[in-house]
Amino acid sequence: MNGEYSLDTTEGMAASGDPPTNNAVDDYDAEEALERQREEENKIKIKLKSFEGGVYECGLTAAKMSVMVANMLDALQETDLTKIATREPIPLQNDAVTNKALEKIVEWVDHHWDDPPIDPDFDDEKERRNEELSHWDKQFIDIADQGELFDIIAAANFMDIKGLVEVGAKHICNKIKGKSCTEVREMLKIHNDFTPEEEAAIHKENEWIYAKD
Amino acid sequence: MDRRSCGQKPPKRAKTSMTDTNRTQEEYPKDSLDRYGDDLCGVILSYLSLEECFRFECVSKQWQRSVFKRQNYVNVEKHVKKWQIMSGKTIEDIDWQILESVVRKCPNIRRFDIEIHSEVTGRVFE
Repeated sequence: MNGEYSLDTTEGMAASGDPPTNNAVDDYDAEEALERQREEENKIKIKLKSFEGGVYECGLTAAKMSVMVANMLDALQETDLTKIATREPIPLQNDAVTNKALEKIVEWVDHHWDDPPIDPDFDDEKERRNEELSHWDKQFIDIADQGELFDIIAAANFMDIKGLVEVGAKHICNKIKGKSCTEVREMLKIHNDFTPEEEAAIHKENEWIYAKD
Repeated sequence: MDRRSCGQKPPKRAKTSMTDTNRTQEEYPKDSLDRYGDDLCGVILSYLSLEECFRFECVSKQWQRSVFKRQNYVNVEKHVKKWQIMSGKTIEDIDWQILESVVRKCPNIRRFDIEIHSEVTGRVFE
């Protein structure tokens, strides 16, 4: 392990930097300022290193979409952000973070860095969950090699990039929509560890969902 | 755990799990969803509709464990209505066993939407 970066799991990086505001004008100004800051910060490029050793460059704001990377950067307590750019690449120690996966992940965060941040406590989570993927995301995640696709999702999960995990999850769910259990197992290479009796029992219990006219 | 890998193609991947503390990790083909731990599997399956959760419960034991975990918002109305239409039942014929099975299987429900207009159910709710 590279001792330089440690993973600080203590929360509290999200709210920092938002000064409390009293009225709508202040709110708007604060938002504007934050946006400009994010834009400036994204011009700073940092380096990420895959499990296989490949190094990829990525805008700072984009890289911070990974909560894990954001925490690591926070732990550095570097006030001069431009210095971050000259640092050693951040190592991503998980076997799912292959060169190919990291390249795709960087492509994704570079495209999405100016998305409004996801607020998990907000009630429109349900709406977002049901939202269809954008055309860009659909094309992005339509990967023929299933191993590579699973690497990307696992790597995004490891790096804690919620938005990308969501894209992968929706993609998989779209693919298996309307399929039978057998087809799903075949497609996703899942080993059926139920006995035929167990499977039949579940089928019976859930009969109502298969109800046809 | 009784798990065999399906196929012997290289490259393998260690099981992904943030909660897995023991280091004796099994390895799975990298194109098999079995490589995902319950947590990530649950996240993926959380994007299924409630109906599909029930349909896919018997894919594997891992799916059975994970598929209902993140169903927080349940709108049974649609399903119950569909079931009623399909089986030619009227609104009075709500099968409470179905609702019970939904509630039992989804441990993390925070909201349960159902709208029922009928005298019978009105009485039941009283």
